[in-house]
Amino acid sequence: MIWEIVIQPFADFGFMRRALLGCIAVSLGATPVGVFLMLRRMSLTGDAMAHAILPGAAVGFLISGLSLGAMTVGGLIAGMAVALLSGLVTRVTALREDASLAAFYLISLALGVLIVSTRGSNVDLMHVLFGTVLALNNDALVLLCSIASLSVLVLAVLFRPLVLECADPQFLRSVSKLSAVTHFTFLSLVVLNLVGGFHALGTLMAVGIMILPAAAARFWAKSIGGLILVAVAIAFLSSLSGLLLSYHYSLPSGPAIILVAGIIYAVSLVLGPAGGLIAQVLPRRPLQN
Amino acid sequence: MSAEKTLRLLLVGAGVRLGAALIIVAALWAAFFWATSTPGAL
Repeated sequence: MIWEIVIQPFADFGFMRRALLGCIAVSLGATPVGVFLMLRRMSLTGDAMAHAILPGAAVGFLISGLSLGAMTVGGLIAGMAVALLSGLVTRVTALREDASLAAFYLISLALGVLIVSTRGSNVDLMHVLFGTVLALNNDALVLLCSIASLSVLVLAVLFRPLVLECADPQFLRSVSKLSAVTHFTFLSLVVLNLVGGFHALGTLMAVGIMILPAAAARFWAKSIGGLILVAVAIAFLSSLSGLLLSYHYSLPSGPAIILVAGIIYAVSLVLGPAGGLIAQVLPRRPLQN
Repeated sequence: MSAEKTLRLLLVGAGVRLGAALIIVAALWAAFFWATSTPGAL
């Protein structure tokens, strides 16, 4: 019974194994980045950046069709350009960063949809917006695994500066020149993981696997290491369950994965011992000596 | 505090974390070879 439901789809079908591996790679790379985005109160920035990569990917699509390399490079350039431009506008004008980023991402989204629509069909647009996790080829998997590997290695080295920048960015800026390097590297990781996630889950869903597990983990763990571990475990579980639901009930896989992550978030919100609703209502134990 | 000392403090434990990260990366690439080389119906 369990074999038929859980194991057999992956044992029998290569496309299911590829989809699972793609989701695991996205979870390993993007979810820890999402934890740091959440800690820096930049969760909506991640969402804005996810939309910002669309025109670059669309230009790549315009030049060479559904080419992995062209769409990746285009997405990277567009994402970094929007991140840097919105930062620049914030520095030289009276506009705050959230408004500036919102303006850029809305322009990017409209431009991206327009470019894809001029040459491609609705199917192409759906591919760009919602991804094709069940159709990942070897090249796409190499890209996803490379991005995940780079993210894990960079986060391992820059863990302490990143934690410090979440807690007190002014302090890090005052004691070390590493602040600017850390911030830029982190932004690059966000864009890189969104571009990777976009191949699997599309521009609209990529940010879901980044932020939802991180938000759910907030109700189960208190240390940053714990948050990352729980978030990655939730992302794995969402990927596995979402793919199986998609296989057994013929549902679109990307939304199924993100919806499972959403359900885990809702359950965590109620049951989570670290600030969940029930934990808030229950009487607290008195302090012990 | 000197810049070098600050940098060293900021990178405390990076070696151990890098070791753990390398194990995770190795496992990921092992999974890649399993997923792309195991025969399947599709």
